[in-house]
Amino acid sequence: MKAMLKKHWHLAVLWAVLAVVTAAYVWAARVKIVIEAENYVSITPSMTVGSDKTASASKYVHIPLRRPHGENESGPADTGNTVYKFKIPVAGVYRLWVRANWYDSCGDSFFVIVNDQAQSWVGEDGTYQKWHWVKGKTYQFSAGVHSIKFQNREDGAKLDQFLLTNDLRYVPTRIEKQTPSYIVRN
Amino acid sequence: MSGARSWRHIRSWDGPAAWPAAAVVLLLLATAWALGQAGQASSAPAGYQWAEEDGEVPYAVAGSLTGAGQPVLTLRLEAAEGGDHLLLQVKDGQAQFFALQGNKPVPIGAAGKLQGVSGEGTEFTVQRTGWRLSFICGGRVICRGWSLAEEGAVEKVGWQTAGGTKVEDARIQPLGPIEMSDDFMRVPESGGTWEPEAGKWQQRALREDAQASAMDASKSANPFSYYGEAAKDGPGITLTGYWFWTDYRISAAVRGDEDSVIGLVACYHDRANYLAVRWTCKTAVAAADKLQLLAIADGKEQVLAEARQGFLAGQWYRLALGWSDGLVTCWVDDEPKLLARVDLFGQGRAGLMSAGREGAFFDDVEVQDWEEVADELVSFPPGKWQLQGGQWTPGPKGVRVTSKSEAMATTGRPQWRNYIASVHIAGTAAAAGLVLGAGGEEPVLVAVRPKGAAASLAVLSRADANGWQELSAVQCQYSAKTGALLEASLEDGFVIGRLGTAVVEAFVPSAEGGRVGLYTSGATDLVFKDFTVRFPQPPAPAHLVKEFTDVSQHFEMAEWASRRRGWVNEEDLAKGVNLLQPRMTLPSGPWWSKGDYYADYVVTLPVRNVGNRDFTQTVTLDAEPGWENAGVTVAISGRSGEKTLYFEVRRGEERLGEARVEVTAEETQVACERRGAYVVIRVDESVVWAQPALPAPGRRAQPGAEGERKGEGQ
Repeated sequence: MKAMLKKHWHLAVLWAVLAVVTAAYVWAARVKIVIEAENYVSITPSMTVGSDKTASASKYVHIPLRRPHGENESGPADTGNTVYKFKIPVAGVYRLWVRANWYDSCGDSFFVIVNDQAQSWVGEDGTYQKWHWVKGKTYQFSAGVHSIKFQNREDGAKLDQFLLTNDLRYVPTRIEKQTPSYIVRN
Repeated sequence: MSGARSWRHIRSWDGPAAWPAAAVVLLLLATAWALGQAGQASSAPAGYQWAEEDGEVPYAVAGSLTGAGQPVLTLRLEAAEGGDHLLLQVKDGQAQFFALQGNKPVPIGAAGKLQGVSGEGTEFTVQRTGWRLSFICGGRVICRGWSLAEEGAVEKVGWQTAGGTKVEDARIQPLGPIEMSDDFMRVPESGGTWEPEAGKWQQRALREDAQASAMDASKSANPFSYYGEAAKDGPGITLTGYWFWTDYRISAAVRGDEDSVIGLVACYHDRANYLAVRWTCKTAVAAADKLQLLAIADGKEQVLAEARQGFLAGQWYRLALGWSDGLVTCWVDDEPKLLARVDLFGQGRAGLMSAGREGAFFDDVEVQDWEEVADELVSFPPGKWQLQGGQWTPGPKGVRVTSKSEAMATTGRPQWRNYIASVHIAGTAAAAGLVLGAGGEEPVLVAVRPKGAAASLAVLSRADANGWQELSAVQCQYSAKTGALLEASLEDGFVIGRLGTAVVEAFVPSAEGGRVGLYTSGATDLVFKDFTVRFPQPPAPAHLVKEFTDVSQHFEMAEWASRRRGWVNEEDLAKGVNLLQPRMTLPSGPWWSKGDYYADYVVTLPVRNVGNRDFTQTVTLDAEPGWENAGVTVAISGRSGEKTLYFEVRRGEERLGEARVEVTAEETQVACERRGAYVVIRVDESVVWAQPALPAPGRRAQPGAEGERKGEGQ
């Protein structure tokens, strides 16, 4: 090995430079993954699909309102959820954003479970009855295929799209275009 | 050397083929990278560096300018499909926006002065909306421009620099609607979008005030609020929103004690640079009884406007601060209180402020888009106004116009709807006024026609390319020397013009709104000044409380009108039925609105099973039980087998008109509106009938009439 390196050191340097340049180019690339909520891999009731012409592609998923709503509730009635799979091209820290429409203060959040790990949640921002982007947590992803699950935390919560980006300064402000190349179908 | 041996030599990385192979690989990689950089801009002018992403209107371009001394920069916004290409040119200490018409740069805004940039980098932003452009550098608005673009229009963003100037970290940030609210109804320290910047801020689950003698959350509609205290070295401030927010209004319910100082902030950059409204208590020990608009720039405070209107300790109010187009406004309980012009920062976050020795409570915060146009017309920047005919000369007293025939200056966006425009007019002309929907297919002119003692105020529509058709006119008082303020409003086709005490109105179903124009004809010495366009807020939601029907403790509520639940039945009232309770059977007889409605209103009702039955429904406006003939009755009929609605409009025995409309659905929405003296009937939002049919509000034909009720339907 040492003898080979000594003999071909110039080639080794060339490959090292190529590797660094390629890695730098890939690292510098901003990644934005946008997935429509109705493009799930699986859906479990009570999560269900709804229609609204003001939602992206006129569709969303939601935990329908229970009656009575917001009174003496000890927790979600079920683990209704949708699961999505996506490809991360570049390892790094990604910010989650969700485009949501909350019913009220008792219907304004989802559980978020990434790669079947410990659940967190997104929501409780205080804006109701309108579609808007809600800032979620950041997650460390390796390059490859990952999954995310949005699960029932409060009834009345609706999800239109979600976005993952390694540009931590980026703020979505309107409907985003879906990025099919990052979506894994099964 | 044979092909196979050549291949083996390359594979073993030995021999003369290794280096050329590696060079080819490098070249291919470099070419791929360069193509990736050039990307879709291959057709755009050379010499520019292009952003990775295109901008979709509206958007902002942000980055950092580095270099020594005065920067030299040309930023290019290349329209992908049609539209003007735009330039921002920065050189010799000045910056200005241009539109490229052919290859010629034409200014679309006034030039602004720019300080030098630092070696470490000076942050800059170029905001590009559907109408306005802004160049903000070092936290200050440097210059503005105006160029219309469709929402969603794609523009490539590129730049070139010289003289050591560099653009670093350039990125595109989409802009979108601002809709944020917070009632703080959550577990303390959980959720929310607030980021305390200074002072101490905490969510409170229960208010501590004299009205809550026994704290019990179950007995309070909303016990949650946000409590802020000042920092040791300055006001307490907590922020929401983003750096690129512009043209918005923040409002909040606020409450303070005697030593509280309550405030809202807008265009926040840092603790030394922001706009604010600051409010002290009537009976405070220091700086009492003040409502102030402030600009804090580089740490120095400037009072922009002030009024002696302090708050009462312990009282809840609704305080609001709006900023748009260089105009700052503050409201208290939806009443505008202070107004000032300042165009320092151009963008920034919104927030709450508490600056006194005691803290302050905040609740029900809202931040929404806010657009308001205010132009003194002393400078008349290019691009903001498009001129047609006449000679327009801006000066310290406004813009002076001379024209033998028609002349118009147009501004604004085609998307404008439902607004109030105003301008002060002085001088002499055959006609002078405001065009609503200027440049569109159906413009409407509200104009004063000074004719000495016989001056008139009129509403006219554009009949054809040759002239205007008068729709309505009233006499008015007008002095060419002192002039007068002309106001013109448009709401869903209903046009009102006001000049002094004269009011004229017309209904133009096809008038949708759009850009606004200053108009004159035959002007010898006419001056326009102080032009504004305002977009009235929708009415606040009506809340239903038990006193609406149960008047046993508050008899004065018996005639209280509300948009929320307007209908009472005489039979129910006679029986004392509580309308808030579920009912098993409906009473007979007509339903009347509870209480009187002043001025304009709309009665909307669904008409079901069209074509499946014979039916007649009636809506009576401006009448009361027993005096139905005093108002106008709209009869809505349908026949089995016909997808047609028939309308007959009567005032007592007099038949005012009729209409019929074909419908496709079994259920349609019918709206009967009172708009000034007009009665307007819409079916699924299309106008089917509109005529003056009622006396104008405030000038009743029967001044002795009491307890007039409006709106009967069954």
